[in-house]
Amino acid sequence: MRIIVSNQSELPIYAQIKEQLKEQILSGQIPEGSTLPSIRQLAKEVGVSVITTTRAYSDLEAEGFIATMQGKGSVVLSKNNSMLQEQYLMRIEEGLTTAIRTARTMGMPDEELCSVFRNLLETY
Amino acid sequence: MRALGFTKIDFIKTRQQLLFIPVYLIFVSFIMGNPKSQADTFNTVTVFLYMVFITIVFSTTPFGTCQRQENGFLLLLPATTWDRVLGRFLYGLSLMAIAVACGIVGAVYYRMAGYGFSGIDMSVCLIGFAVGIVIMAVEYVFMYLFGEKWGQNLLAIIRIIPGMSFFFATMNVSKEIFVEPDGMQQIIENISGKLVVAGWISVAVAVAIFVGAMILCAKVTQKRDN
Amino acid sequence: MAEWVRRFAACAMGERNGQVMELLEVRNLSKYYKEFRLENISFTLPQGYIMGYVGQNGAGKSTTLNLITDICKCSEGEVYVDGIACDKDAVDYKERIGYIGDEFYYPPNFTVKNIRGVLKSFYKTFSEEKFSELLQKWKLSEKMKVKDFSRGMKVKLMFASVLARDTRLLVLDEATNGLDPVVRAEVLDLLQEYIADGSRSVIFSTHILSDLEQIADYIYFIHDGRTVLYDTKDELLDSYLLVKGERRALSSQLQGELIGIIDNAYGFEAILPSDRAELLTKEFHFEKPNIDEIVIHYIKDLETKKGV
Repeated sequence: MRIIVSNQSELPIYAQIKEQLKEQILSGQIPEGSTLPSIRQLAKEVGVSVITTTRAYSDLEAEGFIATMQGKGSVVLSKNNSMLQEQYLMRIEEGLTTAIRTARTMGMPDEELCSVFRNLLETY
Repeated sequence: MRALGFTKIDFIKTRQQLLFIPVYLIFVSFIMGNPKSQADTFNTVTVFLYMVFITIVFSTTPFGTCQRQENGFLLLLPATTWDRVLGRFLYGLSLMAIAVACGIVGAVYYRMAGYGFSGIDMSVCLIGFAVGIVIMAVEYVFMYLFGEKWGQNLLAIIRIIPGMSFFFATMNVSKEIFVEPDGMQQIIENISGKLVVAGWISVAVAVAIFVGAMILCAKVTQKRDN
Repeated sequence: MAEWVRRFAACAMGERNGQVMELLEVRNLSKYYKEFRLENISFTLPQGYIMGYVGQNGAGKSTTLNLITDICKCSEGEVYVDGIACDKDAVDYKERIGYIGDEFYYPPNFTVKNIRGVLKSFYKTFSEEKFSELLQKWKLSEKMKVKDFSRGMKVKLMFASVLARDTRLLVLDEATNGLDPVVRAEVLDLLQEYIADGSRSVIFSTHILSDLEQIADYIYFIHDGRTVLYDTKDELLDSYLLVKGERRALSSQLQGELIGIIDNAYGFEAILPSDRAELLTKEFHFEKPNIDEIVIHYIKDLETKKGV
């Protein structure tokens, strides 16, 4: 696990922590089923306030990445749960939207874009 | 027990002057009290009274060394106002005890060296001791009542005036009593037994005043809104 | 107050009965001096959190902390530490508090050994082993007189004497003033370690926030003896934007919403409640402020209003 907070960032610190954890969960660097450090431990290690880390964790929980159980800490949930699925779908859509927007800007016909996509799928 | 803790703190804070007490004893015994030039009794009584005098001067030192910033340490110690005031009064009393013990050592030394120690001497010592305690009690009451407002200036006055008055009174008393004509001395000799009793009574009264002063100071400090 | 934080914290940290326990409770605390009035300070600090008490010099920070530690008696109001009021049981109350001031508070002719002796005789929970351990860790010699210590050593000695006891509330009054950055960083670590198990809390006052800002959970901001802001730090940072721009681009509506406009030769700087962000046109630059900036602009705002 790796967390770097920056005062220069436009994001508030709780959001920086949240985004970095999310990134690492989605990429599998933090495997599902593993336990995250406790809120207080994380606050101490990163050198931020307890409420800041609490907020990061509670947001992650609300978005379905982790579940917090009393006495057991926060566990990374399986990627199959519906909330996570939605998160994944959102990311995919985001990526595709960027591609579409770029294609439209340069005036590429939709069919050509589809074939580019198909080609990429085959080679990936 | 906690009161004794405060007494201990006062002693640590003022330990330099504690060393000065035996030094002063040696000074008055061997330099000021030149055996040959004075009446016999001068030495035994005056050594003792000088030790009471030094206590009167020294006993207010803790008030002066208590700096504002030390509040963070002293006022945060888990204790009640009673503990604090009792501790301070016990400091005065134990300082007096130390000085008197030194005074007795001095007196015994002179006695062994062959100087006289009559019933009158005894009563003068006791009354001097009693007066010393009362002066100390009054000083403490003044410091507790007005010390915060007037601070160092009051302390300077209180350290000098009662101590000096006692000092000169001591010198006069020695002269008055011991340089009186023989007839007068005779009369005093006759009632010396009663004088010793009066001396002890005055000590008892002084201690009572001291305790009363302590209660007054504790009550005042408790009520104070600082 | 952010209710969700409390609920989540209570659940995540298994606090008793799912309820957050208040460690420090201050109610309508007031102190009237001839030339200064501290009025109606009220807040609660739950177990396991850090509060930053901020304001200018002379705003009443030390006065408040002195009332909490019972160095001074309040004119009105109540303070509870762990549910205990000081006038109910002064001894128990003070056992629970550790205090570190901006000035070194041990008498100058004390040695470390003297301090150890006094602490041992007064505090039930004072641990000599813990004290020695801390002294050794910070290379403080027992034989030295404390007046020969450097400022950094003095602060460490105060910390050692407080951390060697089992306290519940740590009160720091400008304790990091005049310390070099290395020691300041060490102090931050100490404070976080202190609250790590979730049962103890810290309140510190300061006029230079920068480094302490990051670890504070709550911010209480006073000016002229009165409360200006009190919230969780994250909530405060979220609630304001730092706006910069040219004075002539200001609409009167926006100008009315801006707090503490400070002009310089080429433009102005002010803060704006985040929920008014829609008033900002693209002529203005905005970014997230830090607590210092919020404080500076609020003080400017209050001073301007007072002048009028």
